[in-house]
Amino acid sequence: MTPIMVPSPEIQVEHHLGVLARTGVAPPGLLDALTTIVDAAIELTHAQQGALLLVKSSGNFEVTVARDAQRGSPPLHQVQISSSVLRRVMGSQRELIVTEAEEDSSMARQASIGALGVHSILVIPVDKLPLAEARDTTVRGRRSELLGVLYLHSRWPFFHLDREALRMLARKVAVVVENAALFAALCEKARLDHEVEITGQIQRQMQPVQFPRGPELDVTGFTVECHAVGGDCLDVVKLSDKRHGLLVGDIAGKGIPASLLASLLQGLFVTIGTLDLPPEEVVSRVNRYLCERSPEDWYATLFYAILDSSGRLDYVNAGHVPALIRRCSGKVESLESTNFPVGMFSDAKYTRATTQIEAGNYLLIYTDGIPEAKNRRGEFFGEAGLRRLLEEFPGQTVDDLAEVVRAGVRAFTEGAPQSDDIAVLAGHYRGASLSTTSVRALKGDACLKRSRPKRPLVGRIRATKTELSLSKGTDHGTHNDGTRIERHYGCGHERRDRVGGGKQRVPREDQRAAHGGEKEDRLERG
Amino acid sequence: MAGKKKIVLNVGDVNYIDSIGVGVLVACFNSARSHDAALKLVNVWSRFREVLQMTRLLTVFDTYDSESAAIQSFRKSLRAAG
Repeated sequence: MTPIMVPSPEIQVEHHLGVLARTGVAPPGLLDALTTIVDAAIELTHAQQGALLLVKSSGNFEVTVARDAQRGSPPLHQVQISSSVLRRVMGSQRELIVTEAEEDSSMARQASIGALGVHSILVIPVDKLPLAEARDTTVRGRRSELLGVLYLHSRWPFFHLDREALRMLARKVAVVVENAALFAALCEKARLDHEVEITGQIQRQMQPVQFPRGPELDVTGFTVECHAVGGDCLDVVKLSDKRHGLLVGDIAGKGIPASLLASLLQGLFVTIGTLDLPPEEVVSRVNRYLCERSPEDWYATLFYAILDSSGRLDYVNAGHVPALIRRCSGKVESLESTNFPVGMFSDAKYTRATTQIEAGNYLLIYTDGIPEAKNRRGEFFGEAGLRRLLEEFPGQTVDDLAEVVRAGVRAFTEGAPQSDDIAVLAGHYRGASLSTTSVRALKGDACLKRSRPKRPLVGRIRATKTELSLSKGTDHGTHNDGTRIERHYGCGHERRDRVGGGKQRVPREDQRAAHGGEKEDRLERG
Repeated sequence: MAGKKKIVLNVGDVNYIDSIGVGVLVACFNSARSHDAALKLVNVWSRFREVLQMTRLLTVFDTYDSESAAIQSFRKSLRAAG
């Protein structure tokens, strides 16, 4: 082994600079650029053959470019490389010259060199760019990582080598290779971003296009994802003309994995929900399926409720934030969690609870992205913030309520980055329609007529002739007045007495069962 | 409980847990249960307790106010089993 000789007369320096300059205007293709650099290395060292070997992901060297002094490209598999020399360079990570004539018997005896039939070998290590390493503090202070080597053969001993020029060539190799890798990574990221964007579009298309709108019930909802896709879902399942299943679910985690599972959860509910089973049975079936099919540390919290036209609300809160009912008085009631989330325990038992929604009440089902919304001081919006919004809500339409919630959270966070996905499902129950109540009881009741402003009957509720006649004669111009009447009416005893509101229809034993299931759903231990 | 392994997890310094953390905790619990092992939590406070309350996991996990109380509970279980 001979140390690299540095002497470089001025004229030689100019020549070297000219050679290096040509590598600076290399053709745009990766291999073309590397070929130009190998040619420059051959020219600078007067070698007969040169090759560039790059370290592959397997850790092995692979000949990427091979050139001769006549600017020809010998077949890559015919390029003779000494494995023992490569090992030496990998160990020392320094330039290495091996010459047959030198006294280093330990090197000269190695058959892998002797078989090459060359006089001298010059190897220049190509290190990964130090700039990339400096950004990563975890590798600071470590040895530089080998990207590859420039490998040169000569029939004569190498002399008058310009060490700096050769190192500069090695750095150029590193720049070209790493730029190419970055470009490839950029293309791959763009492809993945595009796929994520399409996934987000598909997920948004899976959300209900039209929510129920009718004389008894108005529903609306929205989701706001942290990323392009979200782990929250909502849906409304029409069980009959007078009954709807309302779902809001929240998958643990965010991003693509959560979005996949959110779509699965939503699909399961739409499929099983339409069987019109009791809510606890729907949730149990969903739970069993998810425990069998989903990853072990995966689960979802959800709120599933069945609201019928009498205002009876049967629900299962499975580890979810409490849904809220805003009574006409402004009082807000919580429908707390009484069950395990789904996907956790296959043997979990689910119990329903029941409550009565009165005409004029609002129901708000949401995910924890609302109470856990943070402002720039790190403070949470909290359930208290949401309750305050509801208490102060002037009570007009369900769309107004959704907008109040959306705007309230936005105002609180003051533009701070959203920390979790958000889903909100809001319902406005306006009371039983004629088809489920006594026509005689409602006859001549002007307040009731005014309490149901005329709306386009879109969505999944098909309007009956009776319902249409009920809303006839009202219009949006009287909306504010109508709302006031509605709030008053919905909470008045006279309506329940006259209409025979749904409260009496809830069997007491159902209510007891709904609220008393705490011990039943406790899992067996051990 | 006479499990093969007895694990006490002191979460006294944990004042917040997100849904992923709960998922990992439940996976640990299920794994322990399937291997006849026992996992007990110590010092479950603040937001951690709220989340376990809402998800009803407080009915699943054995929780204690001190490590010594948790360890003592293993001894009692062993005596009861013996």
